[in-house]
Amino acid sequence: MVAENQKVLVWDPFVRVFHWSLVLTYLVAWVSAEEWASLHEQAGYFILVLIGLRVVWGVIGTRHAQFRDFVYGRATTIGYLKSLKAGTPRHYLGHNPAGGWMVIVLLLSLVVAGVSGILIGDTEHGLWKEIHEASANLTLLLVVVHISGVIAASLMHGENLVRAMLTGRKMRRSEDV
Amino acid sequence: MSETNGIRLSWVFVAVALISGAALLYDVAPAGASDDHDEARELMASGEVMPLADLLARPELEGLRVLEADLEREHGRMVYELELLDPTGRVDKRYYDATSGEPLGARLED
Repeated sequence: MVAENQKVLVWDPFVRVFHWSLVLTYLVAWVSAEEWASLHEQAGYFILVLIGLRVVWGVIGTRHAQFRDFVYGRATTIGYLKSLKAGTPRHYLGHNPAGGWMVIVLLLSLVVAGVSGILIGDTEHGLWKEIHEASANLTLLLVVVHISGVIAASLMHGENLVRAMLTGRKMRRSEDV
Repeated sequence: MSETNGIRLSWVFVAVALISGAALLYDVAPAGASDDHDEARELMASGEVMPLADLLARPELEGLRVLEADLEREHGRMVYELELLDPTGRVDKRYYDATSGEPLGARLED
């Protein structure tokens, strides 16, 4: 039994390396898009490899890395968003329901961007290019929402979620889900 | 899965991710390499640049071996630069306007 109000390892090494590698690679892909085709393509492949590994890890990984730990149903998610709006959100040791869905939507958006990017091939214009650009832009928008959510949750719970994604450790609380 | 085993397996995933990343990074071509290629193909397709094969088929180039052929942008126009070896072993460079095919001069290589 783990005592309450103590720091526990929540994010295993792969979850953290995955997160920050994805941040860095997405940045590289974004910046190299019009400048350096080869780097852009390799960055895209790496994003797909990372997500492939993350999906496997989401099934077989450690407790809070697993999808079943952070993908909640509609009622729970809406309830959480309402409590967030009211300024009294429940504290989750892993991802909260909103954060969990953000993970899913971000990964889906990146998969669409990656696959459509491959399907562009040698064509200069076309449907895949449109989809590629739209999904890459959508991802950027989601990143902004994600960072806003992280800041909001950090402030409301008085904890530094960015640091938690670096060290892997979070303070366990008695009321934790 | 016990917590210790989970963390251990997590490191295996880290290793796989980093090795994949390094392998992909190793295969990155220098900046601009593929862009030039794409641009040349586009210029060719739009008719702005004549195909290299048409240039090489010219009678004046008969009997010469092409050591190198470059397509370059010089002072705003596209220029073919050919490095040619003649049967006597002499190497010279000849320049052609890549749009019109007009000869622009030659330079003897040492």
